[in-house]
Amino acid sequence: MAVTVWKRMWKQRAGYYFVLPHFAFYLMFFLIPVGWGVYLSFFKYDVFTQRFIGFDNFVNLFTDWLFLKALGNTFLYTFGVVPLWLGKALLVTVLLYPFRNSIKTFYKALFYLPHVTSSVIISMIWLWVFNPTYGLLNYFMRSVGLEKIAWLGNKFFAMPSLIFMQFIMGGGSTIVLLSAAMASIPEYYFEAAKLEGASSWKVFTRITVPLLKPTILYAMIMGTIANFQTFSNIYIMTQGGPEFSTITIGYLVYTTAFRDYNLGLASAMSMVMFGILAVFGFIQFKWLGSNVEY
Amino acid sequence: MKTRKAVVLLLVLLFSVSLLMGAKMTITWWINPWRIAPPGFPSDQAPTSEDFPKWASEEFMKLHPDVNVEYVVVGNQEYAQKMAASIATRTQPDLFKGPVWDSRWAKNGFLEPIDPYLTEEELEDFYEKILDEGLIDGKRYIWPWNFGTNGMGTSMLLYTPDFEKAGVDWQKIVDEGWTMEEFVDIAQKLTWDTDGDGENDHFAISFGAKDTHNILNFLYAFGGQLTNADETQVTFNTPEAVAGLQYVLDLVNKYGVAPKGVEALGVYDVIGNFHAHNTSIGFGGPYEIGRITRYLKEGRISEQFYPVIAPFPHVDGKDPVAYTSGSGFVIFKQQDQAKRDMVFEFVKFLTSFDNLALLETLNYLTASKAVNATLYQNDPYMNEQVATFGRIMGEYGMPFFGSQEFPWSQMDKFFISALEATFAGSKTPQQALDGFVVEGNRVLKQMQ
Repeated sequence: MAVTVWKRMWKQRAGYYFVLPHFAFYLMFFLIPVGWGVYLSFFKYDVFTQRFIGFDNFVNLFTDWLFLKALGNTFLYTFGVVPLWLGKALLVTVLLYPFRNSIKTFYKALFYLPHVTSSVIISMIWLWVFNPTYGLLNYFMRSVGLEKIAWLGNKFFAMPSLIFMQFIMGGGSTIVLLSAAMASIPEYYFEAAKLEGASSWKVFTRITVPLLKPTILYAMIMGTIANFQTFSNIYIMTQGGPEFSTITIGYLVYTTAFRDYNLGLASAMSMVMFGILAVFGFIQFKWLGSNVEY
Repeated sequence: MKTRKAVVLLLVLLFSVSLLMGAKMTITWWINPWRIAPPGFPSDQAPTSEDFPKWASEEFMKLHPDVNVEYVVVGNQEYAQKMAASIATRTQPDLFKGPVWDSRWAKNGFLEPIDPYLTEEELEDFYEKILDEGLIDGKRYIWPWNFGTNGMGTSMLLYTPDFEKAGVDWQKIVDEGWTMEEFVDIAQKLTWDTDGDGENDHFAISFGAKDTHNILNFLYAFGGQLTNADETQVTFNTPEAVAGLQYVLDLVNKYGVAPKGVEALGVYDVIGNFHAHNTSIGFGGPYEIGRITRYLKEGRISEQFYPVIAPFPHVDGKDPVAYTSGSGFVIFKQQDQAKRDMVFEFVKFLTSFDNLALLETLNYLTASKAVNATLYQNDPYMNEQVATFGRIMGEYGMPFFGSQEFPWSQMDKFFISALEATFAGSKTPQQALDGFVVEGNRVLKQMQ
């Protein structure tokens, strides 16, 4: 049996040669680090000493209020941003659809621009927008007679402010993806629906959305993964504050590893994050995955 | 035939050169951004963080042609991360100067004690406070370089035109200090409505919850203590500490002399407010005066101005307090005696009389008493500010974050959270500091 397998592999060796360079990099820069992370999560590892402690790191995590808070915040942030992103992307895609290509391209580029801008720069700009004393947002608040708000200083406003920022700045790549997917939907589907007297809403809900489902699924999974790991905006704008109201797992992993030098615990946190994302991916594929044929 | 010979010759040459190169001893060092102007640097330009380490490395290599010196400028934000990764992978530099220090490095045998290389003269000349910064189990691990930090938590900066406009004698404050009551009175005079819309938009001072040094000063000034004497308990929730925090809160909410939104601000917001003349009182020492000049050269501000250094306010009948620390070069363990000697030779080169004096270009005080006596001779304004700064640190200086053993870095996030809660109004100063003490003691317990 084994001989047959080896024979078959040998016959198909050209294919393996093609895959080999990619697999080597994948092994070196992904599988080994992940494996090392799994290994470290069972140790008390503080850079200086390494001691096997079994599942203690995981037990400590789930009894640590700060980790649970970070977990809750990460869910809040992800489930705040991803639906808004998708909603915005769908709306913009549908609104752009009837226009000629040059206009579509212009707007797609416009929405995509933040995607190619450093998240650090974006965060710096929004720090000024949210500045409680001299910020743009509070300037508008005052000009319409409202009280100033410490957007990033108030524990009730900080997370919604970050979600709002991410909603405004994000979603560009999803718009490009959805536009491409929508362009591939045969035109006669829409024409037939119109001839049958379907309203715009009906066309959107019964034709556009179902046919875009695979792309929406992809965007949802990628958006969930990206936002679940959010770090740079938290690091630059709030450092997890005020009162830990914006602390996320990504930021907590960073501070635990590189400020507290507790790499074992940080690895355990990463493993929990990895597990949650894997479950998300599975659920999303299971519930939303379907083949679409035009 | 000729070509073959030439190729063989070239290969031999390359081999010889590589052998020679291989024979060179390599010293690697890391430094965080210190914008020191090396000798001969154009005075109309702002030095970058690369200029000094590049110059120092090259100069040392000229003195020691058999040594190759490689430097890396590591940003303050990523320093801890890079250092942790390098220690974990055992790829740490030979020596470094950075914003990070962990006593566990020394305790785990990663560092070279500097004592065998310190001469009697150096021991006499370096400030004791700085020598003791790296004192672990009776051995010293930090080779002194600078005295004091940027001055956050140490002293205040007064924008004198505003004081004169408000009819306040700033010279008296510089010379004699000010009580907490006098501070409130003066701060009220320095708060006004510039654009006439009925709302104050110019304030005496500003605070940031993430700018712990300056707020900590008030907690200590009222008599608060971070820990008990043997550092086994965090005690920053005593009535004195609470009174200090309440005072700062009152400056914002009760007296309105500092802008609201402290919970959302950090140190650079506070600095920005001072640079933009939105506030009349800033924080810091000579380095922060240098920042004004640097920002002007970099085009980040449009006007040069000359604030004066003054002490923080004090409780009537008590002295003010000032955060004092020093820092220097840390040498990682060397296996080879010759290399160890050369690394220390390089450290001594970096901290030689002339090279220490280069800190003047950054408006920093040095770790050497002899060098400090020669600084700013041609600049009466800076000479006066440095003298005031030195006096404040000398008379009122104290550490803010416990001893080298104390795990402040693991509990500062809880302190910041306490400040955020206080200024956001979600907790009283007492509740906020109680919460910090609980978390601080939890960290201490974990460490034990």
